[in-house]
Amino acid sequence: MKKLKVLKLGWEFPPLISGGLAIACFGIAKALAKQTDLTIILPKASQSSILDNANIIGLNNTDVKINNSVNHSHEKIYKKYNAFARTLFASGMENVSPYPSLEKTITEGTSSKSTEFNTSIHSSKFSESTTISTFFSRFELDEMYGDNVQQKVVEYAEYVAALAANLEFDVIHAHDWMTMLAGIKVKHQSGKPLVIHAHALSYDRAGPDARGWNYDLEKYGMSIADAVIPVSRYTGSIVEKHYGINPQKIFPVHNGVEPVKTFREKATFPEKLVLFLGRITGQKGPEFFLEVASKVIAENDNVRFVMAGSGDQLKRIIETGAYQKVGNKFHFTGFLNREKVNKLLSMADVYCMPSVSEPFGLSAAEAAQFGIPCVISKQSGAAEVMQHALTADFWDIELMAKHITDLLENEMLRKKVVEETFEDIKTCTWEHAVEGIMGAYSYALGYDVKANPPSEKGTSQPIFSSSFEKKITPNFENIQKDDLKKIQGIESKVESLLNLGGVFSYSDLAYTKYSKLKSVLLEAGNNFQAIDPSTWAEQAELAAAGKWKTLEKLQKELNRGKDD
Amino acid sequence: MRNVCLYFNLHQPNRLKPYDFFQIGHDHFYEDDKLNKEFLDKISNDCYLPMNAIMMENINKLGKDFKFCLSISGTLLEQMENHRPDVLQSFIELSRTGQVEFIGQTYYHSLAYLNSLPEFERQVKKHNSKIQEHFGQTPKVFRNTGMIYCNDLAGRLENLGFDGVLAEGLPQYLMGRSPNYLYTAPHTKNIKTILKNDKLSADFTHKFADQSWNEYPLTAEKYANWIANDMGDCVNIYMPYETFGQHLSAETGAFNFIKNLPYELKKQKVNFLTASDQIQQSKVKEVFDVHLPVSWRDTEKDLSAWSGNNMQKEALQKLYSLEETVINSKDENLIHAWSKLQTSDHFYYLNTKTAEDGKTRDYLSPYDSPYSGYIYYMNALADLEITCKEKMNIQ
Repeated sequence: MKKLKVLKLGWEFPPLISGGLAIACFGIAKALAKQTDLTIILPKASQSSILDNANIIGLNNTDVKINNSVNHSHEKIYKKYNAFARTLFASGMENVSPYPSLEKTITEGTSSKSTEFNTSIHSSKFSESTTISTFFSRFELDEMYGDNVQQKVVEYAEYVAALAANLEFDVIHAHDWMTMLAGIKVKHQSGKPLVIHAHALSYDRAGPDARGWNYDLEKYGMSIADAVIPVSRYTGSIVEKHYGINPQKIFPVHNGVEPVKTFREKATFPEKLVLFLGRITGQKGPEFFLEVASKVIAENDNVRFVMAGSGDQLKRIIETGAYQKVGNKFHFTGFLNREKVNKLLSMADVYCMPSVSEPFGLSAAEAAQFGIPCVISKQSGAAEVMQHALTADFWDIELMAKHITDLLENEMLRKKVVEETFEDIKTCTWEHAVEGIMGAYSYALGYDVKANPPSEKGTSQPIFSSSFEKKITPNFENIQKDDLKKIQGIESKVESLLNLGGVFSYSDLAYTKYSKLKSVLLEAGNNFQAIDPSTWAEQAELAAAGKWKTLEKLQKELNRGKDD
Repeated sequence: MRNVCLYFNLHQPNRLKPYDFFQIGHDHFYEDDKLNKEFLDKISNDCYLPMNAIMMENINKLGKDFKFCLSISGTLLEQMENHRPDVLQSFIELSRTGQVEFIGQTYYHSLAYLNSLPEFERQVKKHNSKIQEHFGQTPKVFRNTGMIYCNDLAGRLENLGFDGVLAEGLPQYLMGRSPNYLYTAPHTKNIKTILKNDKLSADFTHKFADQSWNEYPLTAEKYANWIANDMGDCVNIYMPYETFGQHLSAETGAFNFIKNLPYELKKQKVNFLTASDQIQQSKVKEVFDVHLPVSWRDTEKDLSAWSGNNMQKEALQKLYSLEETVINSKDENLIHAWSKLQTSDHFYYLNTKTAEDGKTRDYLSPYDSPYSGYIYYMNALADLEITCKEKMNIQ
């Protein structure tokens, strides 16, 4: 059986970890490598980023020269990219790191850079002799983002495209906006379907009113992608409603939750401990935690609140905390390493995640494994998985404070929540996640990658949406084509549309989902929108099996139905 | 009559270590002993020892004609007792010449006057006995932390037996009058208010090394001439001892300046007085009326350097809310630990001022930001509170 060839485009990857993205990408890759032929391209990989059955390419240690002729074609693409960079950088958007450190807090008022996108591209244009390693060797962990992250994203795309030209793959799998540009470019160049995995969106980081380069890139990327995998139904709904993406191509897949080694330690103080753990930034709702804390403390003096982590809101929150006079019961830890995080988890009595927008929220799942009852916001993916955790809207201070007080005072409730939540997350495995990812691949490729190992002709066919400007004409010469017109409802114009969509044989058609067929027809314009493809797969299956008589019989029945 | 009085204040805080959340409940020592010793060693070598040598040499040469005042905090005296008895000894030797008057202050260089009057009184007395113990005299003139001063303070110090109190000669309260006279606070009987000559003091402390100043370079001769020609009974020059060798490095020539100054002043026929000499010799000129506390710190010259933002207010409020429990515990170690957390520097590090005042804070603060300082301080306080609770439960 021939394995599906997947080209995965990543940004963070262990040992380079600045947050959940690296952990998720690694989990997916590990499980995916068991079922597919996996190649991963990263900006920076080290000796220790080794994974069984996967080919990991780090641009920092790969010498690929971009020659003159390639450079010329880049000029054109730059212009095209400008199309989704009409907006000047919005205030604060130039520092788009999802994981800014406390030290690098954006100073308000100094962030009104109005550099236009193309300026930064031209300044970053590499000379003929620039090799990948010279550019990407500069990447340290904290340099993965930072002020010139956009330049890095563009250059990453350039190099990935140059590398991908010599690679064989069936589907492109890109993670988050940092790799979307590369994904778009490779799809463009190869004609292979693009699947975008949405771990965190600018909606989550910067709020619903965020616009600019990030948002435009995400919207454009997801709209031309063949399938989008959000990490939760919650994020899926944002992809659909906030970005206007066709819901039919959205396949929510929950992240896996790796079992962690847990232990319990007694706190060195007599009070109970309520924990907030994560970046201290608007998205995580730290100010709500503070309000919840002052409410709980007013009722119950025997409790301490800890806000662990750092972020751009830390200073403001410290001052607000002081203002609310909870300073002696409310503690800040600043950035903590893994060991200290585990120590804190081992001491905590309640975990609180009041995120304003949380695509998944791995930390809550980890807390649950540590046997801590969780109070989480409804605006999180974790709430879908941890169905027995106590939930409230992020703004519902009263309810969140009540949940915490209940968990602190009611031992029965605490036990119930801990035990049942623990069961909830047992089903979250990376293997399970990969099942969902394969489903999205199938949709993108137009056939079931699990049930039907791709045939020669099926594997390499590009799927173009008609709205996408085709730069490369697919080579149809060596492809075995069936006469699709034998299927009732398909005329020659429809047949060529299907061919453009990568459907050539009866078996291609048999495994193409109704929704996919319908969207090809819808995109083709008014003349095709009324066509009903609901019976095509059934007919094609018979044709592919050579059951012509049965097909004829079926078609007669279909006709009769029509005449009646 | 032309007189001058030189005052030097000396203080080092017990800076806290980066006391994190995980230490609460089991680590009851909050100070960075190593860092504090390093600071003490450095300032001893850069300032205290060379300055004491110069002052001793001047006393030896000029005899009774040269005198000055020192105000040393209890926290610094303790640090010297523990780590640098040699430095303490050199101060004791200076005191034995009889040419140095020791000025009183709060033992812990605290803001107790603003937060708890019983605690203020306790610390003033504690400092008096410490000065008596080492230097054989009991302070008769007082200088509050940060030169914090108001009418009420003068009255309370009078009740505590002081003859004089130092204050900043702020122009808005002088209203055109000269600081070079003795003043008195309204409704006091005997206590005198001695005002710092801000202009002449700052000409040395702030402008001495400023090459863009039109009077640069400031020679001892020129400075003596200014003092001699300033109107009034006595010019009070007040500065931190640490100005020499720390704020003004040896390269600036500050040591030579102070070495030569007494001789230049003698040439100008200016007499040296101590604070108590001045109180005996001079008559009170007028009333100096300050209703609300003022200080010598920052642009505002008010209390904002220590209690201007919510972090500072919260830390102070929390600290003094423990007073009753701590004092009633009668546990000397606990009282001492709580008292050391009162040192004004802890609150000064938490100010969030910008521009020049912010730069001064960053220069003096051991922490990377006021926010980190607040976190460490509140964690330490949380631990102290737990200790207090345990004490109460036992009792």
